[in-house]
Amino acid sequence: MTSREILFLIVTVLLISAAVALIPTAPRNAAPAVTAVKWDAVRDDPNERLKISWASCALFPSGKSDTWIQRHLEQVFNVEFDPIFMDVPTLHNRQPLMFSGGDIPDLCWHGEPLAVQRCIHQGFVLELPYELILKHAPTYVKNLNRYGPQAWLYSRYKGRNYGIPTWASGDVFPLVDLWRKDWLAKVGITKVPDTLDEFHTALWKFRHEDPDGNGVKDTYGTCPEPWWGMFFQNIFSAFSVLPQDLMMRDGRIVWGGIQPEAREALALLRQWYAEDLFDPDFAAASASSPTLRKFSSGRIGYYYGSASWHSLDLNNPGSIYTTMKQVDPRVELVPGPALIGLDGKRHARVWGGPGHVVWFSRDLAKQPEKVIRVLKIIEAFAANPDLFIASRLGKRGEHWEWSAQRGVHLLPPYDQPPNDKRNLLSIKDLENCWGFFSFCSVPLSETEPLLPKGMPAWRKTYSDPAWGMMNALGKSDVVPSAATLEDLRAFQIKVYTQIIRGDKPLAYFEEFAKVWRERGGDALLAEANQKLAEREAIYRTVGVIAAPTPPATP
Amino acid sequence: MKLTTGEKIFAGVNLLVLALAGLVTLYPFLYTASVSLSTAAEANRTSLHLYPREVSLAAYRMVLGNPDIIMAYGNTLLRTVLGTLLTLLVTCIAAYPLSRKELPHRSMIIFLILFAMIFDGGIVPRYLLIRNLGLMNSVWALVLPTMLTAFNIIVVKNFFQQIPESLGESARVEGASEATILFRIYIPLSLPVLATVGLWTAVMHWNQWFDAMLFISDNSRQVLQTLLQRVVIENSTQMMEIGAANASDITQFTPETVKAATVIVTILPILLFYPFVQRYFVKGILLGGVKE
Amino acid sequence: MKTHSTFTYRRHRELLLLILPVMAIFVLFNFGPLIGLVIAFKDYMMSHGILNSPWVGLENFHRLFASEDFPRALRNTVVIGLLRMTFGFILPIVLALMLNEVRIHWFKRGVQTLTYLPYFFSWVILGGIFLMLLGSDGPVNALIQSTGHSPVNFLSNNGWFLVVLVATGVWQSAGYAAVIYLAALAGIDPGLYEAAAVDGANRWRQTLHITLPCLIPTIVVLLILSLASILNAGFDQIYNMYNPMVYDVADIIDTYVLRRMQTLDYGLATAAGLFKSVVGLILAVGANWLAKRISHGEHGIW
Repeated sequence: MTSREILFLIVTVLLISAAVALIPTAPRNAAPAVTAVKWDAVRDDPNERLKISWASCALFPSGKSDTWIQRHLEQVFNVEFDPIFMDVPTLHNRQPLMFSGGDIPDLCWHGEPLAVQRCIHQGFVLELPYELILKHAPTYVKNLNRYGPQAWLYSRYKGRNYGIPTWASGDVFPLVDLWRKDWLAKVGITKVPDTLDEFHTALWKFRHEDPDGNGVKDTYGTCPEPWWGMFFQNIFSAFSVLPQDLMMRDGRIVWGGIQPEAREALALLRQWYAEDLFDPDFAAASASSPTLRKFSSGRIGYYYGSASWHSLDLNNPGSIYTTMKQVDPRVELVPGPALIGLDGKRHARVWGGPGHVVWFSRDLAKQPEKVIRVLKIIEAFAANPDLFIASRLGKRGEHWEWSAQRGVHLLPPYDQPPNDKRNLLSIKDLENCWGFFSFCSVPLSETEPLLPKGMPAWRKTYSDPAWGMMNALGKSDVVPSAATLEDLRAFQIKVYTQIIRGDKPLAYFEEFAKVWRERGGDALLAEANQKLAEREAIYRTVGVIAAPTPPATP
Repeated sequence: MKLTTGEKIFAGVNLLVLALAGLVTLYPFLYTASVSLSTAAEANRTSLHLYPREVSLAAYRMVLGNPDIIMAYGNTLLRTVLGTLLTLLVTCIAAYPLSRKELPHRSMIIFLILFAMIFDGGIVPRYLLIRNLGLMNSVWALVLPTMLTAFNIIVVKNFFQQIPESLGESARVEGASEATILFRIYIPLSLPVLATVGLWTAVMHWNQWFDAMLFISDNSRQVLQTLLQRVVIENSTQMMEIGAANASDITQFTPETVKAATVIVTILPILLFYPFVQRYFVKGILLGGVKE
Repeated sequence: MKTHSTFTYRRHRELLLLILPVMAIFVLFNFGPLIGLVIAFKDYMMSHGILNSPWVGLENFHRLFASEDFPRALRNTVVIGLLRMTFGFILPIVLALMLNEVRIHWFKRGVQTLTYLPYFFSWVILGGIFLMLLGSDGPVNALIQSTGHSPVNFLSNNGWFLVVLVATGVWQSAGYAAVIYLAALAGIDPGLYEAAAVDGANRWRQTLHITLPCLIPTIVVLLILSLASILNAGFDQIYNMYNPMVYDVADIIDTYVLRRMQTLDYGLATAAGLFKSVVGLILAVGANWLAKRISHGEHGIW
C-alpha cells in the first residue's frame, strides 16, 4: 500500500471516530470566566428540598449512602444528599476526569491549597465573596477567625475568594512519642528520655544492648517516617526548626530547611547514623509506612509519627497498644512528651488550626440557593454542639455512649472497623475536621466534656499546644508557584538522607542551600512574603482583629 | 535411545536448575500463605516463614467477614468471565480474515491495528468516550475497551496461518461460507492458542485496578484489586500529606496477616482454575499437532 | 474461469463482512480516543474541552525537554526497557528449551506450573510481598546477615533497585512467556528429530539446527511486538514498588505522565505519551523492516 493510502485512511478514521465519539463532549455551556452571581437577590426557601451532591473529605471510601447520620441531617436541613465517597488515589486520579466530563459535584473538598488553585484555574470553582460567608455563617466565621485564620489564604486565588476554609481544633496538640517501656527497663533506663542526650543514650542502648533479650542484635533505636513532614522531625524540633516549612524570622518568611539550625541538626543525625542507631529502611518509603510496622513488630523501640492518646487506649480494639499487646502481652508502652530543645523549651511540629477547603461547583451559579443552604448548614454545626456531635458520632444509645470511666465510645457493632467508617463514625476524629458532613471542628470547650476522663490532664503533660510550631502561612502551597514544592521537597529529602547516611559530607549543606534557592526556592520565598501582606488585608475584611502570631514560634 | 554420559550429566544439571527455578517462584507465595495463617506474634518474627509455627485463622475471618470484599469478588468474576469470552470471540472473528492472504487491503488493516496499539490518546479521551457512551459505572466500561488488542489478534492470526489451507479449501468447495469455516474448522483446531489467549485475558481482567478506579464510582460494583489497594494503603503517608496530624489512622493498623490473607483470597480462584486450563492446554496441543 | 472469479469475489465479500464490524468496534474504542493526542499541542483547559482549548504548538514539547524530570524519565525508561527485554527475552527461551528436554512428565508439568504462577498476581500484591521480603527486617536480609554481611538496601539504593526491578519482572513473566515457546516447540514435527538422529546428530546439534530455527518465526513476532512496547517498561510494577529515593533510576515515562495527570498538567502528560508512542512506532516499523529484509520477506508482521 502506498503512503498516500495510509495517510488518507488514518485521517478518515480519525475524523469519523471524532465525530462519533467526542464532538458532543466539548461542554458548550462552559463559562470560563467568573460568573457574577447577584447574591443579594438570592433567596433560599427552607421549605424547598434541595438536592446537593456532596464530595466531602476523602476519608470514607467505604462509606454507605444510607447512613443514619445522612438521613438525620437530611431531615434537619430539608436536603437530599448525594454523597460521593472517595479515597485519596481516586481523588487524585478520577476526580479531574469527572470534572473534564462536566460532572462537577455541587460541593467538593480538597486538603491542599494547591489542588484548589488548580481547579480554580481550570474554571470549575464558583467564586464566594467574603460578605456572603460572613452574612450566613457568622458563628462559623467567628470560630475560624479565632482558631484557624490562616486558612483564609487556602481558598484565595488571584485576589478573590473561592471557597470555605475549614479548621481543626485538635491539630494544635503535638504528636506524642511512644516508647517501649519494657525495653527501657531492660537496658536500665527508668525515666522516659527528655533531653537530646538522654534520647541518644536510649537509642544507643536499644541498638547495642539487646533490649528484647533474644540474644540477637536485631533491634534499632528508631526508624523515622519517610514523609517530609515527619522526617526526623522530633530532632529538628529540638533545634527549633521546621525543615520543610516556611518560618518567620525577624518579620520575614524564610525556609526552615536551609537555616543554620537545620545544619546543626543534620550534623547530629549524621553522627547518630554512624553509630548505627537508625533502621536503614527509613529511606525506602512506599504506600504503607514501614515505621509503624517496625515498631509494632518489635524492631524499633521508639516511634514518632502519628501517636496520640487514642493510640494508647487499651479499650480501643484498633489502637496500636491493643494490637501490640495481642502479639506479645509483655509489651508495655509509655508516652513521651516532645524532647527538650537546645533552648531549654520543648518544641514540636503541628499543623495548627487551619484545615482544608470546601468549594462549590461553578454550575451552582444557576442554583445559588444551594450555596446559601450549605452555609446555613455549617452555621448550624458551629452554633449547635448537639447537632455537631450527632453528625460525627450518630445517635446516642445506638451508635455511641458516654460513661464516666471511658468517656465517649462507640457501641458494638460500630466499634469494630470497618463498621465505623462505613457509617461515617469516628471517635478519634472528634477534634479535627474529618467529618463527612460536618467537615469542620468546633471549639475544644464543646468537645472536651465528651473526652475520656483524664485525657485533658494527660495532654497537658504529654501534648501541650504551647510547644507547637507551625508553618508561617499554614501550608506552604498557598503561593502561586506552589507546583515547584513537590520537586523541592523530594530534593531536600534526598539530600538530607545523603548527608545523614554519609554519602555526602556535611559541607554539602551550603551547596544544597544554593541549589535549593536556584531551583525555585527564592521565588517561593518572595511570593510567601507577599502573601503576608495579602493576608493582613484579608484579616481586616473578614474581621480577624489582628494578624495572629502562629502559636509558639519564637 | 541410549544416552551418553555427557547427555546424562546435562539432563541432571537441567533438572537441578529447573527445580531451583521452581522453588524460587514458589517461595514468595509460601511466605504469604504462611503469614496469612500465622498468629500475630508469629507473623512478626523475622524468619523465612516457610510454614506457620503458630496457626490462626483470625485473618481470614476478618477478610471474609468484610462485605465489600465478597461483593468485589463477584464483580471481578463477572468482569473476568464476560471479558474473556467476548475477547476470544471478537479476536477470532478479527484474526481469521487477517490470516487469509487474499483479504483485500490486508497489510493496511494490520498496520492500522498495530498503529492503534502503539498510540494512546491518554486517559482523558478514554474517560470521555466511556462517559458519552453511557457506560460509566458498568461492567461494560471494563470489558469493551480491552476486547480487541493487537497482540491477541496477531497471535491468533499467526496460529490460524499455520493451519493447512487444504482444510478450508475443501470446505469451500462444498459451499461453506467463510464464517462457517471459521467456526466449524479453525476454532476447534485452535484450542491451545485460544486457551492461552483466554488465560492471558482472564488474568489481565482479574488483576486490573486502574480502569476500575476511573470508571466505577459505586462501591458495590468495585473490583477486587482496586479494593486491595485501599486495604494496603489504609495507613499510608498520603493521609498525612493532606494535613491532619492524626490522620495516618494509627488506630486502624492493618496487620500483616490480614494483608497476606487478602492476597491469598484474591488469587485463590485463579489457582483453582488454572489446572483445568492446563489440562485443556496439553490436549489442545496434541490435537493441534495432528497434521494431514 | 468465470466461476473462479465470482467464487473469489464472494470469498472476499464474506471475509470483509467478518472483519468490518470488528474493525468498527476497534475504531471506536482504540482509534476514537486518539483524537486526544491533540491535547499534546494545546493548553488544555478542562472547561473548554478538547477541541476548544487554545493551540500552543510545540510548547509542551519544549517544556518537556527543558524540564529536569522528563529527560531523566526518558533515560530510565530506555534503560529499564532494554534490561527487561534482554533478560525477559532470553530467559523464557532458555527455560522453554530446558523444559522441553525433560523426560519426566510430572516434573516437567510441575515446574511449568510453578514458573507460570507469578504471572497471575498483580503488582499491587507482588509489590507488597517484595517490599516485605526485601526490607531490612525481611527474610532475604536475615539470610544475608546470617552469613556475616551487613544488610543490603535493596529498595532505596539506585543500583540494587534496578536489579530488583529486572529480577522480579523476569520472575513474574518468564513462565508465561516460556509457555508460548513451549507451544511452538510442541508443534515441531518429531520426524525431523528422528531423521537428524539417524544422521548422527546428538541432542545439542539437534537443538541448534532444528529447534531454534523452527522457533524463529515465533521469536521474530514476539521480538517485534515487545520492541514496540519496550517503552512501557513495566508501569504497574514500578508504581507499586518505587519511592522518591530511587526516582533517579525508577521514574519512567508512564509514572511521569501519571504525576502530570494528577496535577492536571494534561498537555505535558499527553505530549510525553505521544513522544513515547512515536518512538515505539519507529522501533516497530524498523524491526519489522529488518526482519523482512533479513529473512527475504518470509518473517515479519506485515
